Amino acid sequence: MSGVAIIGKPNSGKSLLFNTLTGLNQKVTNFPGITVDIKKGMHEDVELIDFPGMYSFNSTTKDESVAIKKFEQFLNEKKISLVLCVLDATNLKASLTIGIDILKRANESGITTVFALNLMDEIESNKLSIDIDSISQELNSKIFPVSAKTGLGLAELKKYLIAKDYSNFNKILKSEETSFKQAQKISDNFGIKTDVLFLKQTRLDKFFLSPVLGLFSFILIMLILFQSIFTWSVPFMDFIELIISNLGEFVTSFMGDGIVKDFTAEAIFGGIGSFLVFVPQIFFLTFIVSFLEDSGYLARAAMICHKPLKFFGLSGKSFIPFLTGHACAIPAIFAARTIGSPRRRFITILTVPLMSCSARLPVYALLISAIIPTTTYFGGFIGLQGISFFLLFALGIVMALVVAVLISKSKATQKISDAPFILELPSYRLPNIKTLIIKSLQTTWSFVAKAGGIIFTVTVIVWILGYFPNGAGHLDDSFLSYLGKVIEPFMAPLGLDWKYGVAILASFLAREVFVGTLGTLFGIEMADENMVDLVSSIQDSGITFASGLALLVFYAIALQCASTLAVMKKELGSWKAPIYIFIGYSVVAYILAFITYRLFV
Amino acid sequence: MTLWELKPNQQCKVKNLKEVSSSVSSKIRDLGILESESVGCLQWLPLGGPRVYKLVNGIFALEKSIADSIEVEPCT
Repeated sequence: MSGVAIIGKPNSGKSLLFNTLTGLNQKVTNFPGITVDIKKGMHEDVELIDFPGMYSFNSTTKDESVAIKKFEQFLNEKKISLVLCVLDATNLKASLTIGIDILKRANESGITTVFALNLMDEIESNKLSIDIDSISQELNSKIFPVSAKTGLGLAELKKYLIAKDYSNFNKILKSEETSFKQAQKISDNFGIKTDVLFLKQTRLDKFFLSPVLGLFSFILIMLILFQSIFTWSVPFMDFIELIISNLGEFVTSFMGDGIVKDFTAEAIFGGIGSFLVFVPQIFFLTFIVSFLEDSGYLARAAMICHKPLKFFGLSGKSFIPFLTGHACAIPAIFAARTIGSPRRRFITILTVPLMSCSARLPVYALLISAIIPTTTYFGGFIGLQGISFFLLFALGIVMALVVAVLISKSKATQKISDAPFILELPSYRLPNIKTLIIKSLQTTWSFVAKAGGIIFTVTVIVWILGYFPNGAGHLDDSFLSYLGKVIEPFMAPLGLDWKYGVAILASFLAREVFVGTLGTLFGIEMADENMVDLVSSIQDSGITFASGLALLVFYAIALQCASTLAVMKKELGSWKAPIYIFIGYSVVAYILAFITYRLFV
Repeated sequence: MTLWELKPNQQCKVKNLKEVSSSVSSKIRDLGILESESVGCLQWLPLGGPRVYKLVNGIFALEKSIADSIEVEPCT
């Protein structure tokens, strides 16, 4: 079946149009050989294929060239029956340059191109006008003036897509001029005449990029971002915890005493349940990062950060992977593709895993609740636990900068080519909340689905090893304790007993397993009718403040994520750097954890 | 003078490109920086950070190494 390709310049509102047309009926598909984010979705019975944004057909950045290659392949293989090119009505010249390139290329394959002239709501609200009929004549193509945001003009576009009568347009577009010159002529003659929109943007930039207020608002926005992840998600986390514990008691009340009941209570509800509680935090982090991205602010933040990050061998564009890395390192490593300089991209990819990702959040949250008091200051606005979170995030960032400098100074890195910093500053826009929610739900769900499988497997293994041969309440003479005794010598310098050793070992391929493993371990140990919450179990286990801190430091630095290593290998084309980085981070994590323990013991 | 030296709110016309690698020059063309096109500077960041320019294809932040490779003629 062939579909409709949605394509266009970045920041033209392409994704919003795709989301509006497909609603929740979409999925990110993985094509063999490439990892570029090409989404597919359905509008009624029409398949829509969303390509990543591109500036031109002879692009130099990696993500764009992959997208272009894929688009050409789809054209050649007749996987596309119509090209829907999205134009930005507020910046016609730029979006039309790539638009005309696309039109010409699709013509060669005998495929019709139609244009969606997006952001018409801004044109109308500013009482401007565009001569759409003349542009349509010049391009010999159908043009749909729309606003993906307000829904303006979408009915007509949908009707056209559903009718599937895509013939009769733009079979010939003859011109000797370059796409750029053509685009310029068309937009000069028929586009908006004034720079009204542009002036609005300049005013905002005068504020957000000013030396004092700009820096102040940058810090404030980042503070609000991290603070809100924790405050907003609390009621949701409490709610999930309540459901899980009630559901656990309800389900197990039907079971007779014995192995099935023990397994359900300890492995399923104790292990996986204690991980699910932290899912709201992942949702809120993704939501806020996407909000900043869609509002246009993220590009300004990258610009502000360029000079300082350059000092560490990174680029201003590394800021976006670093921020995304606080949700998950995997999309962050992909996001590094937008960095034009291969050298700075390399360094960014290697340091992104030091950002405190969502998988670390449950570990942090659990240990912090267990060892740090709930003392608050300034009428509850700032708390010790919040400060601890902040310090752990800061530790990750500082480590990333130190590692970046060290890597950038090495001879091997110096050999990789560099390229200058060029960044488009998109217009400031109020993000569409529905799109943000869809995006955040998708990210959260894919994380839960992926992590859930690993956590379930590891939890079951841990439970079996901890339950047998003597059953519940006999953790100390289980198979797991024999294994734990073997690794205890490595844990003793950190003041930790073998149970924590097992949890660390189990989480080496996926750090989020730590919480579930501890939940299962304490579940077996207590063999209790009522489930005790994990925080109290940890407090009762006699862990010291110094050991708790050491564990936190260890988790902040160690690269315990097999998926991240696999994606690094994919993006860098070799296992060499990922393996070095994995060993290096593990050793540094252990040494720093040891130092922390000695300092506080 | 070069684009980098252009002050905020100043307009100029592009004269030519200094020696740059082919990938950089094609990137510059993508931005709409072509001979005799008019471009303007909007804002400077402190401490030699990237500067904001209004180019034919939109608003872009450029760092010194690239803005310095574009020779311009200020409009009066």
